Amino acid sequence: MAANEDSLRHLMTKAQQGDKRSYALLLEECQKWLKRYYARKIPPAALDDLVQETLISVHRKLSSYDPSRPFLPWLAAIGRYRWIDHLRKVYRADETGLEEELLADPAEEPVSAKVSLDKLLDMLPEKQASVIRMVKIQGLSITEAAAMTGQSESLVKVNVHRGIKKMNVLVENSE
Amino acid sequence: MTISQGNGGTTQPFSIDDLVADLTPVNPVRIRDGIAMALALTLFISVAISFYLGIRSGLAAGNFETIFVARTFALLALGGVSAYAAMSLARPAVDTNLRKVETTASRIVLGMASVFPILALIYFFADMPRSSVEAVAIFDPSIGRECLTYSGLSALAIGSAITVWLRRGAVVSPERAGWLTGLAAGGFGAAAYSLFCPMDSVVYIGTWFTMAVAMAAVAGRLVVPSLLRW
Repeated sequence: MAANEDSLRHLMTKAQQGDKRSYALLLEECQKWLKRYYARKIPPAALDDLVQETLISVHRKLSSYDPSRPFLPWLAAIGRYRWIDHLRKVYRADETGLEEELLADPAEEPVSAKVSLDKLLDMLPEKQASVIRMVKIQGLSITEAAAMTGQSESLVKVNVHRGIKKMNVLVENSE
Repeated sequence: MTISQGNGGTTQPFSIDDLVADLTPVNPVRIRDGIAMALALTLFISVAISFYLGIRSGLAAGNFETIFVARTFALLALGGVSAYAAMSLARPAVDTNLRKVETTASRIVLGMASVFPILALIYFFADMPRSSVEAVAIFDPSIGRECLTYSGLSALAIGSAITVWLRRGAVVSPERAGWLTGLAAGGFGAAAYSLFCPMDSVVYIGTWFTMAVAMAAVAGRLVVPSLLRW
């Protein structure tokens, strides 16, 4: 049975006080929760690594949890930060061709992660999605993106800003 | 294996048992402690500036000019609200209501930061002939250099302290935290210098104090985010 919010909060409070038994239980529950949280967001091959990275972040950032607040929204915020960081790394690797060096796990992860981000981009108006792809993913300048899309430079900036804001809301609503 | 509880370090071979073995008691980050630290540092710097440059004439005798009180209060309030908004980002949560509070706090900060520039513009245009003459002298860089230097150095010290405090937390919006840290440091730093500053012109305050705060905010945006990523 999954632990509820109150028991997780209690375990976390004890862990902050140095109670190792509570901490071990808490990390086990966090591990299960994170596996469910990431299951629909990233490919299965990358799941364990991302869960582990997130648990290490939880460990390093224990003091950032406020015991007077709910625990799961805090865990979700840590998880989302690591997920976005993971997507950024995957895209960066893809852009620089580093994925060709990942011989042990050929290309499956970058492609699948890109699918997650592409799903988000597909939910945006085309004008916003296209300039985000150009400026934030392909690394084109605002001027180049404006020339390629026919939008003015200020409109490109506005569309990038609005699109990213909308993506944040979409990610938040997917919790 | 040692896994540090804080910023930095690299991802290492993983086991929950290792994390458990590495656990040490931690004190949750508390915003009131952070604000108290920033205020204490501001007070310390104010005293240091007072010893070095002296204090405004008349202040020791209890002569508090309205413009001086308004300026110092506005700068302290700007620093306090900005620091609160920045420090609240160090305790993350996926929470729509919390996000609304953070957005509202950021808007209040922007509103407060624009008070003196707007007042200065109104004053300037409302009394154009006199303020034009005044402005020629006030816009002379040699007049504002001291304000920028001392406010800037104070902001550097306060901003560094706030950044170190933020690194104990888990900031998930580093860019926003960078802006807010810069504004907080600029507000507190200019408030510290305000105890000495003998100038009472609204145009002067709207120009040089605003510039000091703006420069601190831009520096915060440029420097702080990379120090807060984890």
